[in-house]
Amino acid sequence: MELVGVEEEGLAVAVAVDSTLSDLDLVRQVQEQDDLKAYEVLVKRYEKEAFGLAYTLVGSREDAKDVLQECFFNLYLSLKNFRGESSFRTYFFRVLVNRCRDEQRKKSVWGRIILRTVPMTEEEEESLEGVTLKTPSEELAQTELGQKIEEAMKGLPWRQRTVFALKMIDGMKIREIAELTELTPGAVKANIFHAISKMRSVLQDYLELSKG
Amino acid sequence: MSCETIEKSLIGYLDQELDREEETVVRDHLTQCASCSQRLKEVEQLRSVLLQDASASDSLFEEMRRTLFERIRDSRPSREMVLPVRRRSWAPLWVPVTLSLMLLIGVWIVPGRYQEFAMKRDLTALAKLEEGATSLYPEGVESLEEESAAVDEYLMLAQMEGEASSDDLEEDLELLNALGEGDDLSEEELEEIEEEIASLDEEALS
Repeated sequence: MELVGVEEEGLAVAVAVDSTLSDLDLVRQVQEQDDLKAYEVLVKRYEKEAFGLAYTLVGSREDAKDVLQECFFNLYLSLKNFRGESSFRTYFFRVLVNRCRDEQRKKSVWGRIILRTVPMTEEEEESLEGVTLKTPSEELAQTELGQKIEEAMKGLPWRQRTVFALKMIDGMKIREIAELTELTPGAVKANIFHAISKMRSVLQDYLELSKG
Repeated sequence: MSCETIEKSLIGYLDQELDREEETVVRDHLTQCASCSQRLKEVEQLRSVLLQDASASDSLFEEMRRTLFERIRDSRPSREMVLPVRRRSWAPLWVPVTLSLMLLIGVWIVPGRYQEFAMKRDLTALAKLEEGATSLYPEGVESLEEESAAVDEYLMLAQMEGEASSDDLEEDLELLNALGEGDDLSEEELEEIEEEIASLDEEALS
């Protein structure tokens, strides 16, 4: 049992929410009673692994946070359509992967357009000098290793990147990934194997260092 | 089993999701193959590096949740909209509405309907009369006679009114002609004309 503080009508009210409830029970509470406390338990349950996946797929902390928020928001709005035919976890990660893919496409299209048509002026470059929008943890992520991982991930085809992230970051079972991505378990294993091989070769130096 | 096949199963071996038979094969192979054992370590290291890179501070999640639930609350209909709107009492409206309806029925609908009914009845009676079947509908004959008397009365009154009107008109025309011809009019006649004009104006205004 977890006490979740919920601010309603300006009053902070401590309401008991059973955080051990199953995903489906929490979903039913949201569907039937529009229970935001139950939804908060669901969000907390999945936010960390969801962020890891989103970050690995979109390659930026800020974008990953936005994608995650957007995904949880849209999920809340469409939760009435969830009938429980697949597990909530599979349903949620499928929505998240699709959202990340949309974000990636949008970014790549706009990125190409901006890079080709609107080169940054000297004045703009000077105005950006010394400007930092990152927190210390984000600074850490911008280390050489972080950049190397981002580059390596971007070098993978989308399907490989997705199954690789679902396996390596979220630790999903092969069967679960197959259901989520609508691939056969064999295809999932093959994609993971190829992705690991490529990532290992790109990050060889770092793996050697950590080994030493 | 070849090293490549074993490599494909390494991640499953790490996550303990292989079936018992496959797990035994991989374990046995790893004890004999230094290269595959090294691969297994690399996969573990790779995961560790990736997880470290993809982690985020609690403050990021708190901020995300705060914005998320603000958006959700904003998207929900407000409490006032959810609660049924308090109905206005209709009691004060009963009296005027009922009175208006009664007035409408009394003034327009009933006489109109009755008139329509009476007309139909008279037409039927007329038809019967033409057929010489008065005895079949004596009330109709009586009604027609009454109707006829009323029309006669109306025509007589209209004729009397018409005569009076024409007398007045003739008198007025004489006066106007006199004015148009520039005849000298007495003061009384002029006053009479002015009064006439004033009364016509009043009528027109009313």
